[in-house]
Amino acid sequence: MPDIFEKEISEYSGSKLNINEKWLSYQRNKLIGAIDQIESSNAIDFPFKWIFFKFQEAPLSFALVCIFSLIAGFSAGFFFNASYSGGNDRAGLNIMDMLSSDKISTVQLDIDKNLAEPYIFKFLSNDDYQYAGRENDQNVILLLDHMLNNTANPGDRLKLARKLSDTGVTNDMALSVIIKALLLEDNTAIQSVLIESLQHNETTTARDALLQIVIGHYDAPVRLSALKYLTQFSSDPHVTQILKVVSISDENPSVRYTAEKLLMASIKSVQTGGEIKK
Amino acid sequence: MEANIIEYIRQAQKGDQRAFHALVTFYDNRVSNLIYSIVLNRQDTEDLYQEIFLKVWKKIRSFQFRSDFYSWLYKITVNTCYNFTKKRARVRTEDGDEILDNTIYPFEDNDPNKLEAVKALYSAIQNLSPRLRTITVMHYLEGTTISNISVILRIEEGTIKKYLFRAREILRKELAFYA
Repeated sequence: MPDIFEKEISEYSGSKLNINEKWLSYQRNKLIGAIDQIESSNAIDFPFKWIFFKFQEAPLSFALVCIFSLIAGFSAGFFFNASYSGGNDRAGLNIMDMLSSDKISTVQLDIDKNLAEPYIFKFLSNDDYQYAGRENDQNVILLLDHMLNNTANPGDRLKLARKLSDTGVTNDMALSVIIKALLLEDNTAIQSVLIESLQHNETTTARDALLQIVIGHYDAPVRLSALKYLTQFSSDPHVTQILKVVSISDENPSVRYTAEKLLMASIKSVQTGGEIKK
Repeated sequence: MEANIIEYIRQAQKGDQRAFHALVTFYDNRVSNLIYSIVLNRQDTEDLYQEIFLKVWKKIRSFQFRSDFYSWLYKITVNTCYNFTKKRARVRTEDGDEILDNTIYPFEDNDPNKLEAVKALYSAIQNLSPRLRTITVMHYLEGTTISNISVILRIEEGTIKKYLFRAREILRKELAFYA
């Protein structure tokens, strides 16, 4: 009996499949956009400003000052953090250990905005263990990140996305976690709900995430969702520039039409807001 | 390495995006092929393509011409894909037929007999665990030696041989149906 495996391998190894050139071209263009964004972006509003410098070209004294500042900053944050408490510290260490050693298998989240610590995580693999915290709590952010990226069932992910969207997340780090999950998510229904969670957020982080989706997402309905929530940034000249490009160049007519309508609305609001500029 | 490639690398190391784009154009066909062989999912291939080349852009200054550029790129690709398959608790596979149909787009091949053989092989490889799949692709499809796989993935050679043996047994059973 012929060894089928060897036959298939030898047939395949002789030559590789060719990749569709159009697909490759699309990926290359997307990559150019991503690199441009990395190189020129100063607009992303994080709690810390990241300054890129070339280690090999920076003087040693500058590097030492930066390292010392980082250490001093972290030490100060550790000792003076207002939300730091003994009980949470112990729970926090447990959660970090559990996340890094994959001990957490099933987590459920309930959000009760009436409570002081509205994010309540229940760990179903440990009897009755739960952790509650606020949006700016580091452990809450870690757990949200874990749940958004490790929940297998799309129905559960959709419910989680809906809870976050209904709550209206405002903290920058939590928002970054949601944006990361949004960009990694392959289910467009869940992506659309995650985009909704950006709707009440007027930070440049949210703005840039929406713009990234409008320019680069492969799915037209998702691009349309993101466009809708750019209305809150209609007076932002950066957004206006992007809308001009999208209204001409997007491959989908509904997206082009919506971008044009938004553009007209933003121009009209500038005109009626003050003197007409000639 | 070709003189042009060396020049593109040097320019890209100085921050020249056009030179980097030329490098990407030269290598991305092979890289995409490799990614898809490991993750077997079009969306993941797209995401990993972006992640890998962004990593290459950020790390290109550390490339010191001690090896072939594709070897360096290959290591980054395999490690990224391997870590991706390990971390991904949820498996992004669609129904098997949908994945096989996706091999027509974005992939194209004109020989229908070869396409059937490759479909059979992909289908069988799809059923391997992420670790076995990665090592199988690297050794049998990319021709990477066991010692190089050991260096790239930081797994002992003896362990890799065991994994390969296990993979062969599984694939033999799967492909017996196509006899």
